[in-house]
Amino acid sequence: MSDSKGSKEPIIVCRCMDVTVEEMRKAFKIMVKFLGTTDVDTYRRITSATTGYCQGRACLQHLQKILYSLSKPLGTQLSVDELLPKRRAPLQPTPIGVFAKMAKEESNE
Amino acid sequence: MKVLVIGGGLIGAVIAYKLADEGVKTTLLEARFYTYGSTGRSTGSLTAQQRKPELVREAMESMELFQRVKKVGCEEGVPFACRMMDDESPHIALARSEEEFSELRKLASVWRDGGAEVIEYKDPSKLRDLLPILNTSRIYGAYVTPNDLKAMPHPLTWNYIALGRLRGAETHTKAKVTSLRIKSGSVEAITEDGKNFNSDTVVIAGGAASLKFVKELGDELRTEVIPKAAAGFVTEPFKYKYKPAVRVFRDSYRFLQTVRSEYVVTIDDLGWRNTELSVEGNLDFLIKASKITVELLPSMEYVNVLRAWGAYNDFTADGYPIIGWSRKHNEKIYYAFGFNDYGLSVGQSIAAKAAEEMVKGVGDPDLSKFRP
Repeated sequence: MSDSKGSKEPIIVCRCMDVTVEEMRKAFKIMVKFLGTTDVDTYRRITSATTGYCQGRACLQHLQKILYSLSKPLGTQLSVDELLPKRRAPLQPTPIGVFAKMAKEESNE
Repeated sequence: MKVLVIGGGLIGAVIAYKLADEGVKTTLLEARFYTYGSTGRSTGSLTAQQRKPELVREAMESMELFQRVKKVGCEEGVPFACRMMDDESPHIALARSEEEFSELRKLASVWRDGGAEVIEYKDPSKLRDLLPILNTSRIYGAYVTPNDLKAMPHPLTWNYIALGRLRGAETHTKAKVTSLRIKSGSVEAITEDGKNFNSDTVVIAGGAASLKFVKELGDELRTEVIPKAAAGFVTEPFKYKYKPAVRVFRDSYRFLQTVRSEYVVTIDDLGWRNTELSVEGNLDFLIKASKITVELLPSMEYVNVLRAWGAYNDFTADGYPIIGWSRKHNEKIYYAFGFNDYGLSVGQSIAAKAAEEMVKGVGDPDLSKFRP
């Protein structure tokens, strides 16, 4: 990932939201300059990486790696807690209708 | 004057920006990250559909302020401002029975009294002109406020943070204030990692987390503040774009499609008091919210839910927020929280007025009903 600078082909980090390494770098600069923070939650929201269909299962590690390598020269520390994946319900994408059907079953009981 | 703002949600961000804009030396402390809490978990609707006429007025002023500050951000090169991801969004308040419709009629008259434009829909099939996916067979009638907006809560808040910083405000994330000490000439805030922040005034804008400071300071409030569980979910993006937002007041239900094309559904008050948010609670919410969604919008049945979340909304017993100087520590502690389920709609205007009255030292009559 770190040798993407000389490459003309964009390197995709987040496949769901089509975010490239270049965009990730740019977003990091914006985040530090305008918000004065390097935390992983803000970074996810600014880049929109990890917020797509897979919810970061494919790209969270890449995002963390990029964030770590970019914030290291600034001397900022990332806590282990920030680097752990955060799982939220539902564990996999689930159609709204599945939950709606559960409501019907409950009212029939 | 030196002011410390606790809370990096929308309210804290607006106050810090306004104070810095007036030349006040301002520091903002956020316990986690900006928008953590009810700001980031809201649907992002800016609507005149409020329960009190004063709040309708504030909501309308907030929408004007939003447009102005967006322009300021754009001119100053703040990247979030020009990509603010906002859009016009008529808000449709639905009634499913005659009784619900007459309740809604009373609310709609409050919106009109507050100065909002309101359209009555006695024939629900006409609503399909606004939102073609609506199943109108279950709907009795509706009231629509056509001039409302929707915005992504994160860039909205970041824009204020960035503008505050450009004006000299200092901001810290991951800076959780664990205690406040009132001294003779100042207030001292101590963070979890042992840092001390001295200031003349501390603004408490921490949403539901503000209550622990009220308790620590031994203060009394005008009204009871009740943190209630709220929850929301977001779906995958959908290629058809719909501007309107849907509200069912009786179920505290909101639905809208964000400018990023995903659908967001929230229930602002699940009716659970003082509950811990849990996995079971999350499933209960998903079932409840999905049932209403599929009833009203049948084509949503096959759209995938990607992520659900819970939050605490700081409801007040009388429905007004808590804005103003502490009764016990006048001129030292300023409260700005208690924004029920409407912080994103009314917060900008109220927070801006709060900052202004702190600087000028003269109370704003518009905030008189909100005093602690």
